[in-house]
Amino acid sequence: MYPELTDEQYSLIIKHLDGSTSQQEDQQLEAWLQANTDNKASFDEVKALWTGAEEASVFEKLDVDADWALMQKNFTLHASLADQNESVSGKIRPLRWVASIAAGIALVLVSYFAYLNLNSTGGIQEIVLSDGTKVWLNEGATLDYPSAFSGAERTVTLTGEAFFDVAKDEAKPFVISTAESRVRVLGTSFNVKIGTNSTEVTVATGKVQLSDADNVNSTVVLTPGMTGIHMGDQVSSNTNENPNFLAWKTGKFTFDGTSITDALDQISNISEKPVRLDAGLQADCPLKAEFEHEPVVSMVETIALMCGLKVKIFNNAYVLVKLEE
Amino acid sequence: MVQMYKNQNLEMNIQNLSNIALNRSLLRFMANGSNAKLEFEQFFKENYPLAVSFAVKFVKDLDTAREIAQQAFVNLYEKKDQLEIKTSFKAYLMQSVRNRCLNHFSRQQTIQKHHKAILDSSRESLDHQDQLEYSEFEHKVFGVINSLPEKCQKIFKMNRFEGKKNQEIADELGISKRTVETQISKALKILRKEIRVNSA
Repeated sequence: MYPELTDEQYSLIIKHLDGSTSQQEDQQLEAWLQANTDNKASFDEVKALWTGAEEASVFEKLDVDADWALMQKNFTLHASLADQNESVSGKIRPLRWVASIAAGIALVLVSYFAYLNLNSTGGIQEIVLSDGTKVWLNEGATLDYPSAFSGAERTVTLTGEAFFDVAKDEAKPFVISTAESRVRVLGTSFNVKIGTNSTEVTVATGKVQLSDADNVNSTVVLTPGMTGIHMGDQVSSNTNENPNFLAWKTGKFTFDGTSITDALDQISNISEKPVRLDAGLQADCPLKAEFEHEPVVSMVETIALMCGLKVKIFNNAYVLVKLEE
Repeated sequence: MVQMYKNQNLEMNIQNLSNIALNRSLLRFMANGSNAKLEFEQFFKENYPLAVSFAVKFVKDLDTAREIAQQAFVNLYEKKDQLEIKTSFKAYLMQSVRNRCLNHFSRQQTIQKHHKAILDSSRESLDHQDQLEYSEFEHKVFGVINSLPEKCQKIFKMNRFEGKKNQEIADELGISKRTVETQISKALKILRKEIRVNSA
């Protein structure tokens, strides 16, 4: 539509756009633009492409496949959280009703025997049971326990996460019962985390036995520094890789050459919002740091600073991303 | 300058064509069959860059724009069974992106500042339809840049994407400034030819 430009004309326009024309070249260009309307239109067209090309850099910076993966990850996260909420209100509560009915029957049979229910909604709760066992319930956890233990075992029921410091009584094992698992101890301290499909036990002192509720042969004995996981029919044990497994209770985090991915995972355990590295971002940044009663956001900010990253809130998660150039 | 492309009414025709294609892919994934997710993935990959580029025009920050665009896609997917789309699917998506950008500003409680920014940018290119067309124009320019010969492409990207002056590029690559200018001329010649051919 507009006549093709000569090499000299291109050269002049490009120098002008680059801001490197001499005064003489400026005058030359001005004269050419004034000469006819086609010249001006051609110039405008080239300039529009020039400007458009600059703004097209957005497309160069985008990684569509990575963002598709990221979006899906956030999306499933969102969906699985919704599932969990549903199971809290829809499944566990009826179980508690069953427990109350059982408690009602027990009440008739043995007059001093009563079932109590402690539900920690507003933060961490500490309780001392009748045998002297101390229990710290993490936020959202529920413990069903008798006012006094009778029978051959001391049995409580847990949902969510708790730390137990069990009073020693070798004649009467302490048993934590869930629908799927049994955790049996004599006297020890350990952390129990009941997930939707799994039970995780990490031992601080003493010995703990973790077994399937229906199959006593499926069992592991855990010693300090070990983590037992019960998922499906499988009970397995590993070395505990997370030195900060009690951070929800102690408020303390210690990182000693910890990789940034592990550190963020560990913080994520106690955080309302997930904490993670941006998809596809590789950060080789071993951390050496100690935090005591620091809010999640300030720990995350500090780690970002240490690794030359910055924090973004992305789909309700803290995401560590590259600093912009 | 954007106006020039609009007046030729060619951009509009291309947009209409792509809307028809988009509505087809929409119908496939709205049908909720076993391929629904695959169709959605395809739809995402075809339209995400444009949605981000559109959002950048409002929020002026790439990461925020990515977040907003992703939210708009997730929202579309979650609501796909309830949606009653009267215009094109893409128009709905872009409207959603735009609304989210505006919500973003009110969340940031910097409405006035950004409102001014929006008004200022509006004065340049009039309305959101134009903003969207401009994003599409840039997307096409990007496609052509990526098909330029290697050396030409490298030099042009250093200039346009990295904001380097011709002299800096010459120094960095150990070539003359004159060569840089020749390569940029070549890039612009090809862009001018290709964008024109595509539009005709």
